[in-house]
Amino acid sequence: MKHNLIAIFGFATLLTFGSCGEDFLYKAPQGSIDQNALQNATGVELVVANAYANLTENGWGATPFNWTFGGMYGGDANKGSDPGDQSVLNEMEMYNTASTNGYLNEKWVWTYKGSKRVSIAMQIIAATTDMDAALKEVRMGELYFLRAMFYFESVKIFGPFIPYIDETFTENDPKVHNDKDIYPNILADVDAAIAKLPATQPEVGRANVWAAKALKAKILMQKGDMTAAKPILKDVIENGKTSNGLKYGLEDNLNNNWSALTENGKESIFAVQFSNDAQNNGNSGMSLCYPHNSGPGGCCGFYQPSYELANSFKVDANGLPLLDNSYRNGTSVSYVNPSSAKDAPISLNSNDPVDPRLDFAIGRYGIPYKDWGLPKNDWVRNPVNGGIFLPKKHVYSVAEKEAGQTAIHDGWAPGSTMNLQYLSLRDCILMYAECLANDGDLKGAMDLVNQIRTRAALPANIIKNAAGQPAANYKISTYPQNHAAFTDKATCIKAVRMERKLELAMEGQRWFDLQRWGGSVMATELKAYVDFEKQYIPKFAAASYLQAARTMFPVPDGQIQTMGNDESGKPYLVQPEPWK
Amino acid sequence: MMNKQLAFVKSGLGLALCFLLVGAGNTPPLYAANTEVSVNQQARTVTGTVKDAKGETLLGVNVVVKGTTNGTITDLDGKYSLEVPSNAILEFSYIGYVTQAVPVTGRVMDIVMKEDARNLDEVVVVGYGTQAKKDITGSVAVVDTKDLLASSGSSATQQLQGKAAGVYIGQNGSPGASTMVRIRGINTVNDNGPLYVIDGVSTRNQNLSSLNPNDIESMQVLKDASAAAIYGAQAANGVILITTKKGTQSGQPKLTYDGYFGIQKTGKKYDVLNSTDRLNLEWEAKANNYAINGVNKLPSHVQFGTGAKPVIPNYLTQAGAGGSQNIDPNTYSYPGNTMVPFSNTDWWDEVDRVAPMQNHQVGLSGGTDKGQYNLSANYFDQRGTVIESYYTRYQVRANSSFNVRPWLRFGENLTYAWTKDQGLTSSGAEDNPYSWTYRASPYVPVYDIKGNFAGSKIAGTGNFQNVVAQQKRNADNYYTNSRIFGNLWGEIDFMKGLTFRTNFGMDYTSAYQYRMSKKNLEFSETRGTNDLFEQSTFNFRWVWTNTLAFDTKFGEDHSLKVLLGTEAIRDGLGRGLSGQRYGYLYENNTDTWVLSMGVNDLTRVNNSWYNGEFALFGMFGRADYAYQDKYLATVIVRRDGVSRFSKSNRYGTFPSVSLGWRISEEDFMENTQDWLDDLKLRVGYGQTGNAEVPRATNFAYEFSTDPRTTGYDLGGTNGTTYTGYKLNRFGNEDTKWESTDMFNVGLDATFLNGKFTAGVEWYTKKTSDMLVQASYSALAGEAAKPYINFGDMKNKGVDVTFNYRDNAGDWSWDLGLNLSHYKNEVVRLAEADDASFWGAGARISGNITRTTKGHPISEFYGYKVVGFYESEADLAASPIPLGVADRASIKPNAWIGKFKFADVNNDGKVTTADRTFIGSPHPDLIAGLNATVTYKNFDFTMFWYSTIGNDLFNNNKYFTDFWLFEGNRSSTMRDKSWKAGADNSNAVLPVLDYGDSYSGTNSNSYYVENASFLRLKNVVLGYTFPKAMLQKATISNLRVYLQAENILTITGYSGLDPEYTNASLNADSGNDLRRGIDMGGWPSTMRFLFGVNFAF
Repeated sequence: MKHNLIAIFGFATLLTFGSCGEDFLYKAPQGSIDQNALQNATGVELVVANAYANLTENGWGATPFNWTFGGMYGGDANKGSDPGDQSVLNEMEMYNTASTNGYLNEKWVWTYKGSKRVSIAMQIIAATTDMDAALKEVRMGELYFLRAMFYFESVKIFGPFIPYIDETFTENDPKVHNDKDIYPNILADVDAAIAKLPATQPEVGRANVWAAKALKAKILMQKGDMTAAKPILKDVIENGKTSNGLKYGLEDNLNNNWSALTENGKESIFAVQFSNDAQNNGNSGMSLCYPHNSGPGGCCGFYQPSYELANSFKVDANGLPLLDNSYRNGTSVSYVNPSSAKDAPISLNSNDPVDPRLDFAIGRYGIPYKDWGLPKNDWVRNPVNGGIFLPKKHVYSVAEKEAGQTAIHDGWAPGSTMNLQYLSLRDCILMYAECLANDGDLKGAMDLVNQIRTRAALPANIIKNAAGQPAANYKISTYPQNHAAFTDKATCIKAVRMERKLELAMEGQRWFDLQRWGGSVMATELKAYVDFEKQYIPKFAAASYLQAARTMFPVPDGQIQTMGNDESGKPYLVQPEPWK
Repeated sequence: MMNKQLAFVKSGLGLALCFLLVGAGNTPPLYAANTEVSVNQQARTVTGTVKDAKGETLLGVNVVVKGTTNGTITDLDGKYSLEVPSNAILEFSYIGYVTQAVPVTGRVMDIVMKEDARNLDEVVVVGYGTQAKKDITGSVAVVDTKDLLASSGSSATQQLQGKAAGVYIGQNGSPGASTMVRIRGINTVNDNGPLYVIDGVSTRNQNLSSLNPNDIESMQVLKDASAAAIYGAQAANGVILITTKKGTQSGQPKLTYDGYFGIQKTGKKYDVLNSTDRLNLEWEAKANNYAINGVNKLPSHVQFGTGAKPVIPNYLTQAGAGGSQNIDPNTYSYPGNTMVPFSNTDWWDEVDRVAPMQNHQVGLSGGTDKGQYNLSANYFDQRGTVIESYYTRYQVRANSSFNVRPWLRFGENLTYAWTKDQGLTSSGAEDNPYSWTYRASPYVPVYDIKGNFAGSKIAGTGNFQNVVAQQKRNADNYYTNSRIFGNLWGEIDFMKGLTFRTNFGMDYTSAYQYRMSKKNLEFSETRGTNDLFEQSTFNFRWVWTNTLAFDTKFGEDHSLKVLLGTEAIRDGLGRGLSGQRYGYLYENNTDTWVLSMGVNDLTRVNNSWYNGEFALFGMFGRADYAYQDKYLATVIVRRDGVSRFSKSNRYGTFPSVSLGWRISEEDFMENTQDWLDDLKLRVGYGQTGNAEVPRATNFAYEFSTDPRTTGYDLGGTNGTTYTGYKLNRFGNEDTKWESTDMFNVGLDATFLNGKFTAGVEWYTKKTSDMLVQASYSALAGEAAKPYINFGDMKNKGVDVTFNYRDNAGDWSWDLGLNLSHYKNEVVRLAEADDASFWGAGARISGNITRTTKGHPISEFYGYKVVGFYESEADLAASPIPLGVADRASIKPNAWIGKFKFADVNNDGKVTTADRTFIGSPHPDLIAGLNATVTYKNFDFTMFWYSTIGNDLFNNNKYFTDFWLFEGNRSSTMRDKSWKAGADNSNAVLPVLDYGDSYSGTNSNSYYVENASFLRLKNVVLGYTFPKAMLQKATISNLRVYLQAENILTITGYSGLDPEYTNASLNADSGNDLRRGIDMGGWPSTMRFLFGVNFAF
């Protein structure tokens, strides 16, 4: 009996003290490390690479190449595919965007994801002591550059009244009102980048000081501050060089800017470096934007160029753009083939003269599609919904495919290692031309425009058919000195803007340009676009006209709800006035 | 920090100490010495036979000399033989029969046992012990194993449906399907799966298909906190206790065989059109689209030309035939230029089949009073109703126990199961095999003119996958799971009423799979390549429990049972490894299916990961007190520590108290005794905890790398990336236990000598400090949010059971009805009142379900359809349509005949602010009716199951009732679309408009349907051969039966199966936030089975 009591007592003791305890219950996190372990020279490189990785880690709405917000919304292209596919894009292309639209949220989330990556990297750099001080500065410069770019992407879409979070915020869940214009913050970031970045970098993918300057100019242009942008653009164009030390210059062959095999050339100021090493690093943001079925990529058939854009490439007898908008009259450059007989191509092309860049930017039936031969009918997924044109610039060639430069997104959609240029010399040249035109230096502006046109006219940029002849009736020339654009400021501005539309077609820029040219320009152009487009694609008959005041999108509804109200009951996020 | 291994050893030692201390304190035969039987001078041997009222012999009846441990049990023929002193009283006891005490009168004593209909002394397994049913004060549902096994199924949880009040089961008809089990509402936005305790070993693994249902001896559901609190930490969602079959003391081994064989078939198909109707519908919609938009054009399609009427070409081609009659089949080439005749393919029929199903179980049990064993082996094979799908299980079990000394017992239970399938896609999703049947174009046949698979490569037929091709290509894919589950236990009686028990259990699972995703060149979005994916994972969990039980009586009136215990659990001890390569040259040769046979380029992927270790240590105590068997009280306290929380918040204490009053035992109830057997009032209150967050170390900030998201090609090589590290997860040191307070009142009554039993229980429970994933805004960045304590959720409900059984002549019957009702409400979720959790569906823009304050979890949320814009005048008088900026921008033609959404806030325009709650997936009532009638040797069982008042969101209609993709369309669209100038009183769908991307895009009330149903789940007709006939062959039992399942369903739901609950039935965190979105899936199947029960 005594023994039993001992046993019971022993057992009770164990129960009471729970000594079967502390070590047993502590489990260190597995498969990860903590921030302290990264506070050294190696760790800094890891978190900086991660900040760059935000450039490739994005979806269809967040991609900085903006085929939705810049391209589709600006009238370069329509959604494409079947009517119901990604149907949430329909409300955008019909100019009836709701604040619940998931594409908006995606962009918003992407910006702050990037911003947080930058903040963490900056905090780690600040706590790191074993690193070369000069290199630290360079990395800080890169981070400032990236942060400026991440916020700029959202400013272009939501306007400058959005929360700005930097590395001084240490709480997990920062709460900030969207009541301040953050242009000063972004410009401060880009200035810090300019101060810290070197002229060249050992890795071509890193931003250098010239990239930072070009970004600053682009931000200032978007802000409407041409006076401040002008000298920077001049500097960039005249003195700039790439991270790998090439002096900036226009490529002779346009294709050099759009091939994985010739990327990182002299025209590329800052390119997003795509790769096929892992499934999502091959431009997943544009994985829907490939021709359908047997076409290159064989996917989803989105981002089909618009009739309005295609017809903008019509030229007059002298090979000059129709600045009076008369390109919207007459026969379309391509039109639906009245015969739907077997083997009949979906569309036919008129023989009116066109700028050769038409067939560089836009895939048309009857015209060789890069080195893929002539497009087949099934490349267009649904002509009733998306029209007859195909996206082209960013789509890989057979040569690239054979060189293993394709990638897979999420195991199903196509991708490519082809870098896309976020900042390019052609863009800077045309922005500078705008600045000059604005200041009355019309000749200076037109000389720049002609520089662009001269390049476009080079034989390498004329698409040939199987017989070795130009594939269409191409005509392009430089503006002659006696053209009104050299004497009339309004005409000059028109010519510069038109050149921008043609040269940067399908590069996700259009709506941002319209927006910065002003609400009324935007509203007028987009009304004309809708009215033109509905003649060919009936769905546009149901489209609204975008109001002049809506030069920005609404703040995502879900973010307003999640942020909630401050202590005084005031919501942290407020819709911009035109969206209330 | 202490070396990890050392820490493990140390903690192990601590635990071992728990056991050793007790073991060392024991010097063997104390108890035995006390009760040594003195040799009686006038001992004699009594023999006899024990039979039941029907005259059939009973095996295993306990025969004991009253007041001693001297006893035996009856053998296979019901015979016993026992040496007894004179004047002895023999006690005959047998579960389910009234215990009889008979004074010894002669040398031969034949006894007839009477069935105890009241079952009050039935022993019920409760936490870490047993209790007589009459003494239970908490809420425990005892599941009748016979009822359970009456239904077929791969797992006991499937069979549990409708068998216990307060338990809500969701399932589908895929082979080996998993099950969703919810006990008394929904507690949390996280994991709502109950804790399973199998032979004393707890597991949170919700997949019970590795446990053979035929091995189950008993099943109890602990529903309220006062019953479940003893499992403290893991009990908030209720506990299901399962005891497997043990050996018997029959002496002679008993061999049993149970098996069935049968077929399964689906019932309802998706309502889709034939090719001609489908084509005409498209033509009409395209014509309308032009008319609506004022365009003077004729409808057009790449295959059918342009014109007022479609022209069907002689062949549909890959480039588009344009209505041509002159397509030359000789120009066929694969894969570049395939062609097919215009077909009328019923894709459902192509992929659906009548599928066999069989189950065979052999059991061997027996033993003596010194040792017992139960061995079984099971083979279960269920072919799916989709071609090439199957689920097969092989399983063995060995349970044994040994009485080494009267005071020392050891035993073990062990099962091993191995299952295999070909990679079932059982979840509700748009890529489920059955979903492809409506997403596919009926114009395209399964095979093209040369016998190759045909598909959406045929231009203008959208982006569907040929599901027949897919199933055939996947037939050789290999998915296996194996699981070893078992425990080893020892029990020692220190003295009468004081027992120590130690129980060590383990649960080892491993999964191995490889699959070839073959080329699908007929698919319009084909990748054009193949890949092999191979993965292996394992997990180990162990549970060590030590308890000390004390059972005593003070005087005549007071009885007291005390239980003290400790429990240590380790889980998540496991890892996974996977690899993938592309470009297999011989994809059809399964012998080449190894990773090294794929291309060695940049697309190859390999990964490994930890499961995330988890540890729990708990101490608990329980006291059951009864005064005069009339006033009962149970007090439980459990204190648990878990590794998921930081040191300061690791422990939680969970108490409970429950009281019972057996009113029928009171003197003033004496008058009722002739009709009222038992009446008991129970009141219980308790607290249980939940630490089930899907993160092993919630307190820590974790950085990690992932090439897909953190790698960047800084070097510009196109083929490599620099490695990046990101903050992957936020941590939170303050996170602590989620706790559920529950109050339960129950009334149990038994009437007329057990003919009627009834129980009513009312409960209310509130979960506070709910573990929710913090809802940071986007400004916080991408890192996974930590689980924090925020939010409360309430559940209220009533469980009612009613049972009636009786017999008359050759007839006997047993009717059981159970009803449950719960009401769930989110009380608080975050600082912001309208902060919500959202759930998305398939392809529909934005979210479909919303979980927010003042509403139950996962209510449907969207626009309310209030009719159509009938005319321009109506449009002018109605609020401005959704998305239109102002009245001037309205283009009337675009809106007439389209859905009119309600302007909920009456501001004159429909905006996102007008979304509202449009339905709830939660039933008002869940009901199960089990009826068994026997006549002579025939038995007949019927089981009805019903839920009332629940809605489903029929997401499939986005594909079939609107112009999403180019798949098939419904007859509703053909017959009930709004038409200009027609009588539209029956219209439910908007005007046919090929370009309509407004009507179906957003969540709206058109999708919500009442999914109440009544289903005849099971009918069984059995015949048991008369004993007399079998006795010569010494067969003790032979029964054959015919069974039919799911043969009748009464519902208004238009989808495949109103029984749909969650798209994914697994207990993963967050599934309940998307409750009731029907995204397609595997419907419940009708089954017709023939079965045999045999015992030798």
